[in-house]
Amino acid sequence: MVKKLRIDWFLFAIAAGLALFGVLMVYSASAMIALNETEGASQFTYFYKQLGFTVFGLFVMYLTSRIDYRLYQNKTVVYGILAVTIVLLISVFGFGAINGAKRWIRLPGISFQPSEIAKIALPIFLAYFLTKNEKTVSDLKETVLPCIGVLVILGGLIFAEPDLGTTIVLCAIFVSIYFAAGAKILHLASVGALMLFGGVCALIFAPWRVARLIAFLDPCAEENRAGAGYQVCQSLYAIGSGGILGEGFAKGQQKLFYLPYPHSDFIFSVVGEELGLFGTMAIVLAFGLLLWRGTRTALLAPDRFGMLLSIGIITGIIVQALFNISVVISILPAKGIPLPFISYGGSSIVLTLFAVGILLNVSQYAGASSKEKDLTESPVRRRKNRIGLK
Amino acid sequence: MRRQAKKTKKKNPMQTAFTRFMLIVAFFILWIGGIGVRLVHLQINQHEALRDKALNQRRDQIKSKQLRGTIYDRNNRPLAMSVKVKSLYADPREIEDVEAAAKQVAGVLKVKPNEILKNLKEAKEHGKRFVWLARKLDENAVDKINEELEDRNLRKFDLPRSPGLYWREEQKRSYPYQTLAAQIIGFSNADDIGSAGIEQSQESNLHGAVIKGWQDRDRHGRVYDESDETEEREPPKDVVLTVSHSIQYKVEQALAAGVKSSNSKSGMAVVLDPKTGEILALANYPTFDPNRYTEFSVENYVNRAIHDNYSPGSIFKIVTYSGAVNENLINADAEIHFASKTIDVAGHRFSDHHSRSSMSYKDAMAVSSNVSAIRTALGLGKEKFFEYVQKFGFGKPTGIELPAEANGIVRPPRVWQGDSLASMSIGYEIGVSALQMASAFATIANDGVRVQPRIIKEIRQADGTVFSATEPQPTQVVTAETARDVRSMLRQVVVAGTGKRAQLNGYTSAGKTGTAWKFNAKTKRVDSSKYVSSFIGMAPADNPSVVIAVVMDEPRGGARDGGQVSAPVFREIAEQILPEMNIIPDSNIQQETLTAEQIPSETESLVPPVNENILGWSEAENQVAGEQNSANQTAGTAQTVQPVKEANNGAPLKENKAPVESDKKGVKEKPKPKATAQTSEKPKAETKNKSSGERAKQKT
Repeated sequence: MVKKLRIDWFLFAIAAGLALFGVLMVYSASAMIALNETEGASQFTYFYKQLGFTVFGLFVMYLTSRIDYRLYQNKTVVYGILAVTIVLLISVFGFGAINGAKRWIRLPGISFQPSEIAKIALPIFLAYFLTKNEKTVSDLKETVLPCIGVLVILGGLIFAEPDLGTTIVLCAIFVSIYFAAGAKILHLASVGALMLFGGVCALIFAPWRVARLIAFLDPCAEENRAGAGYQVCQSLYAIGSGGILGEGFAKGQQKLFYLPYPHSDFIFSVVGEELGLFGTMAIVLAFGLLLWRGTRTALLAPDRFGMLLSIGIITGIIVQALFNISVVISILPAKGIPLPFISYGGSSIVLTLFAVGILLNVSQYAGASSKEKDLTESPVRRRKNRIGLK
Repeated sequence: MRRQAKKTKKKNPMQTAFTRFMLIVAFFILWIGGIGVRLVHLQINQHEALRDKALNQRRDQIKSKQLRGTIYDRNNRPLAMSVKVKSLYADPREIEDVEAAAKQVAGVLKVKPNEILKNLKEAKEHGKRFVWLARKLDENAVDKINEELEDRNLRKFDLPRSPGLYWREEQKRSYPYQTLAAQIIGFSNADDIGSAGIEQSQESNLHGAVIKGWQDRDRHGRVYDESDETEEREPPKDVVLTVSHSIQYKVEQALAAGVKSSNSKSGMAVVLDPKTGEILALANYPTFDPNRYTEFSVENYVNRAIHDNYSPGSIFKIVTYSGAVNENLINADAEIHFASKTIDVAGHRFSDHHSRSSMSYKDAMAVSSNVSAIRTALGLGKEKFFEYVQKFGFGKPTGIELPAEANGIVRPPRVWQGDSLASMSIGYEIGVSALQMASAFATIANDGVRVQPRIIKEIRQADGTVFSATEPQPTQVVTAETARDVRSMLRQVVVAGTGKRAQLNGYTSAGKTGTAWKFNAKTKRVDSSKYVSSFIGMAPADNPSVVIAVVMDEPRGGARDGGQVSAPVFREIAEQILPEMNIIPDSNIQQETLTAEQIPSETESLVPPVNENILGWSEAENQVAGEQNSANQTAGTAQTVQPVKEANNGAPLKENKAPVESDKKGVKEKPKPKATAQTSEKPKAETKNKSSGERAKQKT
């Protein structure tokens, strides 16, 4: 019945294109920082690392796309991944802080962020659990509380790093999967209220977040420019400077230490300055296409597990991307979060591509379904076709 | 139907998932749309505003100035030059603890912290980015500050490595010879704008253009890009003066010594090359140091030798005699007979000190006979006399390349009074500058050819090529024969007359003394206690290479005549500079030691009337810069006061004259000078004389 066909090469191309573009932008954004850190010896240190991780990540993505996603629909695998993730997240606290945050596991020669794994572990767990408990999705004891429990453990650990950005992404993944899986609106609203409460608490216990929140309203105002609004204000300078056509690749000047983290959290600003509206729109469009192909994959997935997993993965990537861009262009309060595919960071690029690999594997069935008419009758059949032809 | 559909939906989890996920996707699409709108707004609508802000925070506008041109003496010694210096400024926004910073900086600069603190605080409150802390420091001071303010923990790449402190390159004007030629050179102010002297008159040549540029700095302050200064700017030019620094130095030394020994208020000296019109030296005393000009009185800035008018007195007789000789009315060796020691013109009595009944014009010049000069002028006539006055360059600026030159005061004949011709012939009712007077002597020295005096030899471009050189336009004022004849008269002054003290060792010299009383503006009366005493001479006498004018203002010593106070300065100068100029000595005369008594006193032969009209007139018509001075000095002339004049201006002046010995023995003399010298005017004038009682005075 279900016959394998080819993976969604369009999706593959978008992901690979974004990742390779990211390598170039990382070079442009980090060259001066590299020079500064190596005291003039090399401007390529970040570039080489990113290039290596990206090539590795693409390889991983391809391999993953060859692994049947249903392999993950297995109790041992799911809980194993979950357990490993939690252990890693806890072990983060054994390592030193960078910029006041404990996000990295640093071993000789390699360091990585377990929170990136959580972004994959959570959708796998939820997809598995909500598929298994399909009949009792709305049952508080059976399903809702265990799911929330996992979210609280993962999100709580990450929040404690602290990494509010990733926590928010996890929450978004949770909400979208659970929502799609058929959660009661009441439950979701409760969770939403709880999150809101948590957010308020976060603000109360971390006053600097309040300053950031207020600063986001007018980052370049006199009182914010040098303080809480500094990062975003510099980001706006960069993006605005680019205009329509941009200053040209590698010709941006805001990255000369005016822009904070130009190669990671604020790499989109560098794109805006150097490649202008064309560049920024192209990236937004690319994520839009990714959303389309991801949605298509999810909707045409052959089973509930594949669908929920795809929804979780694509939501995670898109939310993170839109959130990052929104911060950088100051329509959301500043929150450190990397731009998927493009920002510098080995864990981020490898695991994002790994996630896309899973998505690609699911997408094979979408390809099959759109070409073959002999699928099982399904109430969404007609619409499936329409979307497939988009 | 709908209910049915809803039911189906609810019942089918896949359908629910589909619908719900589409809601999520729709939310994402809305979000993407919002991002797109925002991006368009930022990158199109706000593009320029944001770009400017970004530019503003990384770019420093830099104004640098080309180094101001150099002023050289004729031997290429720099008299004024600009050097690069550094000034310390602060960006108060980068300084957190203003008080500590002020203390620290003040400690290194060795000044009190209060003012620095005040400036910093004020600037910080107003959000200024720029405050001067110390300006125009030399290299040592800069090094010291860099060293002492170094903060090794600071990530700052330019010196001084201290938060918020920066250097800015500026230039400083330096006058290496300090007071030398101060009034010629002038000075330029703190903004490098020439404010006096050559610095002012040649501002357009010396001025260094402002070059605007920019530097882009990264956030750590490192410059990573700057505007290339390919912009073609013509560099400032250098000015080469005709002045020789060594001659100038000697002249200044001699003048200062002369002013001190004669206890004069001030003095001035001009040394001219009569053949080229080049000014070799031009000195004023007291003087000032242009490096520290603010510490001196503004009066000292004035180049009195070109700016002040004074009544020259007898020294002006050179014009009278030159005119007459040139018109063939007299010659140096012709005899003049005196019937009397006095001459009355238009009711004024002029008198002489000597009591000889006849002498040559040469001797008349030597003893500075007023009667002789007046009779000569009367013979020449108003119009002719006026013509020669003008030809010799009086009444208008010489055109020297210095600011604020006086016109002098020369009234046209139509406004003259009856006795004006007589007064003018002996140097009253006229205002001249020392330079004008020196130029007249230079004309005689140069065989009657007047060469406009000049102080700029050439203007040079930065690459050393001559941009412009002054080409003097000579004019023949009197014939060469006339000039030689007059020189022989001037020679006699030195040999046997009032200028004996101007005799040189090894060189022949010629010249004329002048002693005039000054007019007191307050009392509107001549002040018998205030003189302007001058001597202008040339050497060697036969073929003069140099003309030297020395003018002393208000000598207050015992002897106050030009022959006593100024002639020795002339001698001092001439004897030093002639060898330096490689002039071969033409005489072995050794000047004997003279006592004052041996020299005919010129003071005694002063007899001008006080014509107060000249004061009223000079206020109305005089256009020269130093109006007050010219008024004072022009009018400040005579010893004798004519009651007749009282009617004109109501200021009774009778009482102010010097001790008078009514000299009734003054006999009306028969005019019988050179046969040719008779004019109809003279008898007329004489008939009028004596009608009013006046006193001739004798005073020493």
